[in-house]
Amino acid sequence: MALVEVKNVEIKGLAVAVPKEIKTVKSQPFFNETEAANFTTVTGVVSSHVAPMNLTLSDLCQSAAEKLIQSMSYNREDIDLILFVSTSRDFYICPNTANILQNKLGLKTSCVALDLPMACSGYVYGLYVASTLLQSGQLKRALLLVGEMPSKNQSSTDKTVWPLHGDAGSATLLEYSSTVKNSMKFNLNGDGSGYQAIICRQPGIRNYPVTEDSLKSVTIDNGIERNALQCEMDGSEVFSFAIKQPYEAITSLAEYFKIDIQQIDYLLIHQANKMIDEKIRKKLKLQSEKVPYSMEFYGNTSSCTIPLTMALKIRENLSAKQNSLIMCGFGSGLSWGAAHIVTDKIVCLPIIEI
Amino acid sequence: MDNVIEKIIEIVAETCGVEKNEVNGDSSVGDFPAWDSMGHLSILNNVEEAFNISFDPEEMMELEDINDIVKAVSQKL
Repeated sequence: MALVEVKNVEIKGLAVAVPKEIKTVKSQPFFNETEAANFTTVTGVVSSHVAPMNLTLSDLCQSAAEKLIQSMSYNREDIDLILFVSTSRDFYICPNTANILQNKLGLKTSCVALDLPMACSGYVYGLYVASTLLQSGQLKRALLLVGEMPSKNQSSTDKTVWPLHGDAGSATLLEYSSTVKNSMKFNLNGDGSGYQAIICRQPGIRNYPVTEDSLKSVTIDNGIERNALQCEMDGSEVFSFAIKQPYEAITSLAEYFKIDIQQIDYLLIHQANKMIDEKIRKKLKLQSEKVPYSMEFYGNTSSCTIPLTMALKIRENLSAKQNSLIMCGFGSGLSWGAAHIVTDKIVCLPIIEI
Repeated sequence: MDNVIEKIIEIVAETCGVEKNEVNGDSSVGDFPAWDSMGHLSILNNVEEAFNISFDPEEMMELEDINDIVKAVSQKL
């Protein structure tokens, strides 16, 4: 595990955007009434937001960023880094989506623009990369754009992924300051032996080129139909990973940095599946008030679940006072990470619907 | 013990949408269309609620058929 401390950087503001349209679990044709109820009991998901064809993840992140920059009266010239963390890139091979957003947001051409194509662990990894690039003070302000649009690369006839996921994008502003009191602390991990557990086999160089066969929908099992361009998930493998690694990442982070888990204000855990998350919460002996959930009406929005939960459930507290937070993201890669972040009266906007 | 088996068979049948007489101690993950990985979690969740017990996360991975679940529940009662 990589246990890393980053000093002199803090989160200043946060905004999240989702599409207006909603899909419900109970309306999915591959579920009967009992199956839909079982699904909701286990995952905690009742409904989620789904984008129309003409809306991209970068559009959601752009809207969140615009609102955040406006509400914080930021000068766009002062933003030195834009980091776009998502697998829902505008173009899969090139160019970087961060470059496109640098232009759309009117940021200076000397703004460092990077893509980080990570999924469910992406918010923790994004905070790590952005804060690390800021900590020397040579770059002062970063715009971290994190989210996912699974509706674009998942099959609506695949019961293993479609009812679980939702679309959402976020913008987080981070700043360098030599007077920041609390460091950011990270525990980052990955295991590529599990790379097929959550995978989109095409497009990409490994299975190049995309052909007519790539678009043919194949029946894998009852209620599971998809083509080669659509994401697939091995539920059993993901489950065995998810019940083990996040808990260990959190406890080893706390042990190494001497953090009393009982003293934190909130555990912000990736909204993968409520049953798994509740197992982790109970094992950590945390009160339910300290572990907010957002999956009920937003689903699993991949890397956006942590900022979305912040904006939905603890926005007032984040704006009003200092908060000690542990975040934990885990998913495709396999990749997982935990972070201890202390925020102090940050700007946190209500969720934006587009 | 018999009551535990009976109750778990009832839970599996109800969760999977099958008749109780289709379920026995050897019934396991994959035997019914609804007993996939998500169905398995749903069954274990319903068993936890019915018996007011809690499975450890690691333990859940070991519970593959009804006999396994019955044994694990009996040890917690």
